[in-house]
Amino acid sequence: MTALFPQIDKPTRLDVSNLTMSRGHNVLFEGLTASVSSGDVLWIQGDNGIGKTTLLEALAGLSRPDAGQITWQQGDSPSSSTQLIAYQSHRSFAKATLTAREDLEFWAKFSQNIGLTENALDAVGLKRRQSVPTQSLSAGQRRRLALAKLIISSKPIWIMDEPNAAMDKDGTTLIDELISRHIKRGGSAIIASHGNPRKLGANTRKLSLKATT
Amino acid sequence: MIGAILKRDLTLALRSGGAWLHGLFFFAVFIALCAIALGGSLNQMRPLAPALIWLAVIFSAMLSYPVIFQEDYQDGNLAQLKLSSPSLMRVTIAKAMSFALLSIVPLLIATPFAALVFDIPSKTLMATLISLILAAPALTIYGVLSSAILAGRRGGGFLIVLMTTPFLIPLLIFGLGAVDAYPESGLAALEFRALIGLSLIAIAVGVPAATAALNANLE
Repeated sequence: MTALFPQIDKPTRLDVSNLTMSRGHNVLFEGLTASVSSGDVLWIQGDNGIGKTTLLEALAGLSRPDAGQITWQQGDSPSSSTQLIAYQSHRSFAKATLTAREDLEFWAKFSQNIGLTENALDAVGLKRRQSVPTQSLSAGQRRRLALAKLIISSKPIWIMDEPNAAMDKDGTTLIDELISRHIKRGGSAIIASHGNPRKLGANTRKLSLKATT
Repeated sequence: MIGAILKRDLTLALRSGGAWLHGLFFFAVFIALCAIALGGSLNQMRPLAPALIWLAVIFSAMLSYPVIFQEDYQDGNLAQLKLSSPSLMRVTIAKAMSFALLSIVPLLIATPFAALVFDIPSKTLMATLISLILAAPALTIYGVLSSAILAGRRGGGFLIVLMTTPFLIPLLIFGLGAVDAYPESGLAALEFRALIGLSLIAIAVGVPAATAALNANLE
């Protein structure tokens, strides 16, 4: 299991300054400033439609902010989101006709972690379902597969959109356990969730998005 | 990376229940309908055959264009590929290769069979085939480019036809010009070189442009 979570040597840092984002003509938030560095857990909370996913996509470098800046750093030098970020979106991006194992192996190739597929599937409790096409997995199992992809990416910053959705009790415990492991090895996590924020590392913080009237 | 994406796309295609053969099926139907429309007289059809085959290839390629990036964009795979791959350009190249293998190569393989329907002489078939092979990279890349630009937009299929038509016209002109010139000047015909040129330009300009378009669509 230790091989699944290799130590992250270089500290990483994600800085957000004066971020403004909107959806259509609706400004979602303005002047947001935050920073997340190695060992941090940041919970993002807020009602439906408040802009959590939009914020996460911006942090992952997948959407461009209207104003403000997001910077990613590794060590002391600037880096890019593609180097540092692993993003678990709220929908499963597993290909329906591939088996869980094939789907995971595909992503493992990008991080040269193909040898860890078996372990990763085991870690998320999918080992017995590995040769089932992902379309036949339950919603919760697909979320577990997405967790395995996070692990296998060996990226230092995890961004997770509603990881608890469709998860059973064991699944929620599993998520906490995996995130704790990831924090301990020097990673960081940004999690959007409706559930109560749980303390998963020494430096756990909460960011609440609230509507103004 | 490129190999991994290629392998996955081929696996997905084989498990798609034949969806990847739609273009080929359209090609066959188009040729058959042409033969019927022209009354089945071989003397009438023979001179028209290369043009009809070229049209069939272009139309069925167009039919397959919209799907190049559609699914990967909609299910979030493209965003994940952007985060996982060292450069998005490799994703574009891999997608172009899998499209060429799954949609363009089958058409090239089917061309000799279409030639049987029209009973064209082997020399003309040879010329048609070579002109299509030389144009294949351009046919592929224009599709990749337009599909990348329109990824995630509704009604993209219609726009793709509008967008790619101007690019495909020179291919059609030089392709058929090459078939005409082949009996006299063989492979040295100027039109063959023009086709190679068009393909090279398409690769040089189209791949970076498609990558930029994908990047813009993913922001």
